[in-house]
Amino acid sequence: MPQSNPQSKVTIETLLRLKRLERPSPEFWTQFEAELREKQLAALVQRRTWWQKLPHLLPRRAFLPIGAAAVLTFTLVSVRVYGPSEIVQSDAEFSAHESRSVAPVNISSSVAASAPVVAEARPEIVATPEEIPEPAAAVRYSEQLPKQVRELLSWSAPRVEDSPSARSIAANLARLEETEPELVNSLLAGHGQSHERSVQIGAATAMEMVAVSAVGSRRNRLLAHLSERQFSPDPSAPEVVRERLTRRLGDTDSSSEWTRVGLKADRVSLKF
Amino acid sequence: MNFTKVFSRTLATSPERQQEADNDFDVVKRVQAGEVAAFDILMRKYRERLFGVVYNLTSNREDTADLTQDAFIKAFQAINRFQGQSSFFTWLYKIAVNTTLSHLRKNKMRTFFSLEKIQEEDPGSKILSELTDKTGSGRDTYLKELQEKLNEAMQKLSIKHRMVITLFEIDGLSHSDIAEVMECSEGTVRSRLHYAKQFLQGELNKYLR
Repeated sequence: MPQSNPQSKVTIETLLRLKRLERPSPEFWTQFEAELREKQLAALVQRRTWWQKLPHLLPRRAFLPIGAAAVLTFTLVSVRVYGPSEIVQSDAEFSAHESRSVAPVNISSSVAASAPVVAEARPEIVATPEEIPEPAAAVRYSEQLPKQVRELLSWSAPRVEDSPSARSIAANLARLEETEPELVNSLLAGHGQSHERSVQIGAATAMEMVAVSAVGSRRNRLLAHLSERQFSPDPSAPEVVRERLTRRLGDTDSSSEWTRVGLKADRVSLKF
Repeated sequence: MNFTKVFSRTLATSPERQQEADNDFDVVKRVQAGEVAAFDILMRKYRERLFGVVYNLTSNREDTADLTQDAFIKAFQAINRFQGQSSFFTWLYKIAVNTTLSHLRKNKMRTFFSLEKIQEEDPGSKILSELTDKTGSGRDTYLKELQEKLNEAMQKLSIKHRMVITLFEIDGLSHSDIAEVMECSEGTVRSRLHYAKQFLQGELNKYLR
């Protein structure tokens, strides 16, 4: 603590006046001047780009109208480019593309075979391969497919009649149809929609698989190995395991089958 | 902003200052005409005042040196747009304050003190005898501690409060001038000043008698 001086009174103002005395030494100004001269020369030499000069060239009053005009132009261009008519067109293009992508794989035929009841309820969904126009590129692409991949694709939608669970479901459905036809119709309508979606998903996945498998020979070998193993469960496995495996492989929903197959860069995995 | 008006009015109140402003404008005209070296006259004349303003806002001598140089460079680059509607120092002061505020806003979290030495040989050093009656090394230590605490307390204030206290207590501007500089009412200035003083009193209570 400072010794008290009865004659003086230190206030906050007095303390702040101390800051006026905080000044650099005269030597500092020599260096300051040299640095400033360097910066000044650099500023003289430095060329400004046109957008840096622009604010100085334009009067301040012009900023607002120019900004407003820019915003208006941007809005008009945005509306023109991303307007509603374009969205409708995009939608149409998208559906056309979807139908093209479904066609070449011909999953629908196998699905139609796997779900005959659905085919009765919604005949327009399960179109035959002859009805669906197949683009030339897709034909060429499918011709180039390795044999193993084609086998795998044909395996991907097994016939439901072979599956005991499918047989039981079909029997139950037939019984229900006799007793409550309205309920069955409403159920089948919903199922038809979901089935259509599953067909599309299945087709898209198949296209992906085809594209991937056509590239790598190692992957082809893996797929071939996989396809060989699909239909012949390990004979050494117990009877219960084999039966469960067969049943699971023969489940009705084709989309769920596709989701079980996992394709990665160097391996194919199957989920049970 | 009416910053220039404030300072032109402030300076215009005194005939000496008006004369000074006119002299400055003559030099500015020479620079505008292409005599680059004439800018050095203005720079040497105002560098210490400008440095003081920036230093009291930053409490960092390195930053202050850079910011003062930046302010001079900006003024040099824009000198063709100076039309003499305000005094040159007002215009320069405005550039320096805006540069400093921009720097402080960018580096809010960074508080690093680098203080100038107190110039005791200055004629105004009677302030020091008011502050302490110690002599020798004890006095130096006390002043150094006081300086550090003072700057520390100043930096604890918000930029607005620091600006008010700097402009009023250190640079000696009036309430109305500060109000126009900071684009607020005089009441707000008084209120900020009162708050800032109270805060500093609380922080520096140990050194007050």
